[in-house]
Amino acid sequence: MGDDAQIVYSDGRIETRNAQSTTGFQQVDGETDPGTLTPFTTQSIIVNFNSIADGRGFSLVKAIRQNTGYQGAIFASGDINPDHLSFAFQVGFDAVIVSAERWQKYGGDSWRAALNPAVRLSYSQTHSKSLQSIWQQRHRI
Amino acid sequence: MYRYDELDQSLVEQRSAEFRSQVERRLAGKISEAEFKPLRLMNGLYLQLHAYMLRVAIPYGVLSSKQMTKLADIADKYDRGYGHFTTRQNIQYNWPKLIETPDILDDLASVQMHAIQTSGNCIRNVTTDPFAGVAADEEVDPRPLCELLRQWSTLHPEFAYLPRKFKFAVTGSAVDRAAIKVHDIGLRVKSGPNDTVLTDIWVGGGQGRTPKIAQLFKANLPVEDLLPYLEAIMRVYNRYGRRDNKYKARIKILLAETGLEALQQQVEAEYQSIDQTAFSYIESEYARIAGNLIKPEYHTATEAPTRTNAEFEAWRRQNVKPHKQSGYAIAVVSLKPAGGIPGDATSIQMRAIADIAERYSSSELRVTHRQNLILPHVLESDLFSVWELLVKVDLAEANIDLPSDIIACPGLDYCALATARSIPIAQSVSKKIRATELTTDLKGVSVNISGCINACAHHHVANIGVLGLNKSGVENYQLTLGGRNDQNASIGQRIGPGVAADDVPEAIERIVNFYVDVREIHESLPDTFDRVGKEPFREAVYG
Repeated sequence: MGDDAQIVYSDGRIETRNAQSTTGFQQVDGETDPGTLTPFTTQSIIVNFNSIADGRGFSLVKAIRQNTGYQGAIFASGDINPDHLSFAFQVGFDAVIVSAERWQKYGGDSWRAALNPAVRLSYSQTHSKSLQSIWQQRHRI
Repeated sequence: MYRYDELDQSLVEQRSAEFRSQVERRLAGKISEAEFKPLRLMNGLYLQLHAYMLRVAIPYGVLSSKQMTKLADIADKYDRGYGHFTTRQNIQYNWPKLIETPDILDDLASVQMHAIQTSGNCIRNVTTDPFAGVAADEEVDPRPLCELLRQWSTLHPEFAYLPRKFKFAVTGSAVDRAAIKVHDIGLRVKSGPNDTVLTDIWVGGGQGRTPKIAQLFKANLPVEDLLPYLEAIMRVYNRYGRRDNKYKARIKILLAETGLEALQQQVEAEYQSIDQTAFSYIESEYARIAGNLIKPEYHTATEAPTRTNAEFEAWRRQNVKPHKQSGYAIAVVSLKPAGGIPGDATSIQMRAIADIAERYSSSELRVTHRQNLILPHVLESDLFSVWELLVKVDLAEANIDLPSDIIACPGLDYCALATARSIPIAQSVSKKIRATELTTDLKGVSVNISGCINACAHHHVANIGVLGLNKSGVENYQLTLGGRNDQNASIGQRIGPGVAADDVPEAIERIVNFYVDVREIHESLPDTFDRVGKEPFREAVYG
């Protein structure tokens, strides 16, 4: 494993990647004001969470797609632990990049377990395939 | 009251299972206390001075008899046989063991209850008028909107890591009993033309070290447009709210620093960018919730009330409020016996009131933000029987809306943030002032006691506010006068230097006596204070 990062996808796949293989992905700070976003030129964007105490990155996925018309993949990285995985997929991240250090710290079991979250319902609409929207189910939309 | 369907129930059970796994990982040492803290806080579990404290949500203060009985069982099984009702219409247990908290949550889930978002930097339990749905002066029942807000805010992935906590309050009456103007967002629901429901949105109220009265942010918004509009406010707050200083992180500071008009423009721009089709279900969900509320079957009184006595009449005058249904009354049950701990109830009292509600109030109860309980649907002809049963368990203190009906935070007896004790002060004040209020008309005079600047007891908006501080190792109590928490909300003013703990009851007595001496007919304490000014009151206390 060494320095390899693990990419945990919303569809349940886990992929080992050499840390260098994400060079060339465009980096966006989770704190970025969506009003300042300019069109992206790459096919992969990484939204970096400097601290999970700052949840702005969770609003950024929608804004990136809406404001710039970007249609490529959006990854989350940084201060995300297994307990935040479900929220990341709910708001529309395609995958979370987990550093070798974080993978080890929480253990592969915890990361894999987080792909089958205990909470499988949310009230509002959701991008996560593990979750069902209660409101959608009630009103068949 | 709202009844869960299978989906609501499943979500609460799943959340309980999730928390169990988080506690297990903490106990196994797989995650540190630093990592566990935000997870436990998202579920109402605090680490206090002596033990963990679990805050259980009582959404908008509505409880069934069955739920209250379960709260009593939890107090006996996992705690020390009592609970503490709070200003957010919640209940707190002061002595649970970490290892048992998942079992408590399972027990709660079995009666459609939870502790979701009762702490943490997220949207907290929504509060409302404790007389919602039964007040004689109500324009629109706020409960369907409260439940819609509960669902919308529950585990909302965008708003779980805000700059700071975020509190909503809702009222459906012109007379505000929900203190909407001292909340991050206060909503006033109104009836519009053709049976529509409109909302006024008040933003930026709050207490703590920088008390602010909310400003009218958006008027007459149709209820079906409310959730996308609130999402826009939340996103703008999340984006621009300060994260460099937790004391400046609430939306009241963002509003003050940005200005009303500029913030409104930012929210409007965000609102325009939101995909409205994702909210197309709001109208039908609102209607579904409103239709799902269990409504009591009101009957016509079969017998005229015959029994009475002087004590009962005193209780009725003070604790019984007008009901919208003729022949019925709202009975407020005081958790403020003179000399007692405000908001505390023993498991015996909880079970007794659950039984009374089952028999005499359609099995329904409410928790008020003044830390009392309510029997919301009592036949007037049953009031005497209800009173007799309350007397048996020491719940018949006839002091609602009197100065001894004190709001107090847990203070230094429990709280890790407190700088001074508040419970013992409340006990000595209520003992002293009770004698005065029995012989003098002091209706409406509110006394709130906070044990630190965070103002959990809302002392800023009390007629008489008491704030406990620590000056060089000695407790010191500042007095503020003239606060109001209703539709004319105002912040109280400090009248002079703080006083020692032992001197607080005497100081309050002097304030009250001076007010009685100089008030005009039907003049409230804050109105008198506004008219005569600070100096004469200061003179009365310190002179």
